[in-house]
Amino acid sequence: MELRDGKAAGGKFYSLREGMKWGFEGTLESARLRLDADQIAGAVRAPIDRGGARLGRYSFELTGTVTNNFILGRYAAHLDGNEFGARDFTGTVAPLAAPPAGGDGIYALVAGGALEGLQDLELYLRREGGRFVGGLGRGGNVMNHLVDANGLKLADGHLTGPLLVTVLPEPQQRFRSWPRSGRPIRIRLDLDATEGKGGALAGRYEGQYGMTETLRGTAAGTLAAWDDVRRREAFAAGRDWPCWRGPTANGCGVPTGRAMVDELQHARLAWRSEARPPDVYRGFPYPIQSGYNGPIVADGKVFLSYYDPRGPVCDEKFVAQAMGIEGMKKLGEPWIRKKFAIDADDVVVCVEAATGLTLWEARFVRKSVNWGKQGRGAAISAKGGPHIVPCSDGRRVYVVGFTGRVYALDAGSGQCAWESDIGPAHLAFEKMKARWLAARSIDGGGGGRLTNPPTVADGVLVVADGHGGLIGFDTATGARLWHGGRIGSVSGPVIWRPSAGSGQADGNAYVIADTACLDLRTGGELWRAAGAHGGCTAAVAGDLLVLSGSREQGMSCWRMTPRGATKLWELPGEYHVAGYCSPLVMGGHVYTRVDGLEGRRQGLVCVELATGKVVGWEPHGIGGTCSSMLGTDGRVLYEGACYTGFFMYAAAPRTPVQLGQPLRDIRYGESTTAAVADGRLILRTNDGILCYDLRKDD
Amino acid sequence: MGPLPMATVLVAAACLAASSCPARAEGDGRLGLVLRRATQDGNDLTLHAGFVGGRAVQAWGTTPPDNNIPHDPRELTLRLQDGRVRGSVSLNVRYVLYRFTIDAAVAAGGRAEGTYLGAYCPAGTQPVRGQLSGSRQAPVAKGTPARLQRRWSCATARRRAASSTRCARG
Repeated sequence: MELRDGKAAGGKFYSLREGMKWGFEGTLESARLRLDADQIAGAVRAPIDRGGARLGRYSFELTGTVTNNFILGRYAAHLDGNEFGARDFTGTVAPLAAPPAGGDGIYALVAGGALEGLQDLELYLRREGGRFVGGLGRGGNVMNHLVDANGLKLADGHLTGPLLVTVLPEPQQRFRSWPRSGRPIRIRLDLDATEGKGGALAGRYEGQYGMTETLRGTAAGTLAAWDDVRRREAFAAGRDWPCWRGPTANGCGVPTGRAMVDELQHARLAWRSEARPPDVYRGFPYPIQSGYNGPIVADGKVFLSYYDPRGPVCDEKFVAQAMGIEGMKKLGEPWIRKKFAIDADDVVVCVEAATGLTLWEARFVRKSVNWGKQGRGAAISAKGGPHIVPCSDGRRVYVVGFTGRVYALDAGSGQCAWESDIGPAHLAFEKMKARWLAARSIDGGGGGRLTNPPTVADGVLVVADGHGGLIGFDTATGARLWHGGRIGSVSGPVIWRPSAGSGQADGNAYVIADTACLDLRTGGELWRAAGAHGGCTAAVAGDLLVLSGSREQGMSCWRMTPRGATKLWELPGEYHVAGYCSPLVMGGHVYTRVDGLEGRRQGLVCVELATGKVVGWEPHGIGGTCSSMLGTDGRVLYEGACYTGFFMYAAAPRTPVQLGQPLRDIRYGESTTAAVADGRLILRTNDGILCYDLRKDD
Repeated sequence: MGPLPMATVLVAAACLAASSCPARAEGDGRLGLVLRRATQDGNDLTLHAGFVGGRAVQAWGTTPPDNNIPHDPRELTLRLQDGRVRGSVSLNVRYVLYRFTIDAAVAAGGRAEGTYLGAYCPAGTQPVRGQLSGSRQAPVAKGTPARLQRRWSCATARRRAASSTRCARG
């Protein structure tokens, strides 16, 4: 509008979204405003008779301050006598008088795309007495960015020099650099503009969004000898986590007798591994996948197996897609070609548990396949493939490779003692890989499934055959001892030894595969829990067996003997274990995540092991995670879904209570499960392995 | 089981030969170094670095009590030799990139003291360039005829309760 003697002479009133269904426009009916050098106040009437807003006769009362011809104020709106809003507004005022001679005045400028190249930055600079004395900026819904224009020079109508802007973060957090830091960002723009007719300015700017600041200070600390570190951080013997679901096949670490921290934030980060399985951090959110295996801990060593994509043959259609995605293109073509390479190595890394240093790495060149993009497009972080956590008997570590090879490696040296495979499923994987390599394309699936972690006891290694059965290998020679049994798609075989005090102890170990018990020596099925549903990996607690159930039948608990199993309790279907979240048994209670039915009873539940009574329910904070529950010394641990963080709860008898904030901002290999050994949490992340000490200081 | 493929053995052996062998020696050990007021918030940053043979083979930074997640080192050229820790490390701490050049003396008892020179910039740092346009105007004075432009947020009432928020400019 134009304002003369405090009255508006004509003007328009319209929505920024003109032309859209909720746009609207109107003509100002009247405006009476008092405009001083630094203040504006008054009222405006504007009937709206068409468009998407509620129609009627609007009036606005406003008051504001004027700085460098820029208005910052508040208004109250009225419609049909009702006030419905009081909000901030911004505006500009341009006097109709000619700008003063000599170059002084207000420089109202727009630097196109100066905010991260995404939005314009409006600048209002004041020049008085031949020099620039102040300024402010507007952009990204923030009205008062701070501007330092002292360095600007004007000569012969030519404006040049540096402009320093402190960009304040906006609540909406739309810019990449604003959301998380929440701090101002300093930018520098070098202006070069010329004044034309009637004071019009045009030119260019060039600069840096975000400036480098310097720091200087003192540093002090201690260099500890490795021997001292090893002594201080040693893992006690007998508190290993030697296989999937831990030493007693129920997700619980061997108790340390020590008090654990009350918040994960108080857990001390003991080390970050020297080894960094494919350096996926740099590629986030387009990581190079390397599988879902979690770590194990045995005899002072941490073992992790993964696949490492390599080779010149890629899925070219995915490469082409990726090169068209800005975020991936920035990572460079070598990165993209590695991500979509078809071939891969099977890799096993051994890390010293006390220090995080690499003891050895065994690499089986081109004996694997890249699972990272199966069935998915290039644009998403595709699922990372199998879940085949290694296992160890202390002397050797046993690893199932990502096409179904089986490796037995010396735990001390990494030397491969023997190599075998899982049979037909392995051959099918190899055929699939050969077909992909020949076609330079992922052409459907093949092979079998590799989602059943192996286990080992008494000289027998039990490995899933990829087609729903199990194979027993002689750990000494790699010879096949037996082939039989049945295993579900997302569970692993676990070992059960009858308790000494139960009268059932016979010195033998048995294999629990879903709902059945097998003879470890022969693979023969001894019994099956009648009518029970398996699902996730079963949890063994003494002679009790906890099965995860299904939608029709919830969790159930069975008392086992070598001759059969008797059902102790069974919960309704709403208490079936969710997804792949194998339950934890600790301190006489079962902890797991349940999906519920029709939205009921979702969350973390705590069930009394002896009776099946549900004694705790925590509905919040637990997402649809694929990782499984862990526990040690009164603490329940699990990794939330979709990078929500790693959570810790206090254990029963009360309802599980979340302790402190989860560990966030750690890039997890989603769906992996950590290990708990001697009060330490060993966590696989996309940036290496981390070891947190959960024990309170003595 | 068939005979063990020789390629596998050789690769494994080569990796073994190349891997670190942590042993007590000059240039070995775990350094925990507190860089005083080293973040833009004025907090201390603790740098942990493991040295083998004088070379830093592992490193992470933490900013307690703010959090205890490891800050990822992007560049690591620290060396431990002749009783000094020297070199540079760059870290991403909560989306701000830091680069520190460190020079500290390590006494016989393991006590390390020295200085750092650091620089940081926000994660969104990038060059920008573009067009500049605008006008030179007279400053506002009382009674001056002027052209006003105002931007009001959510200035009109909603037509329906569920309708989206609208914005207006007059």
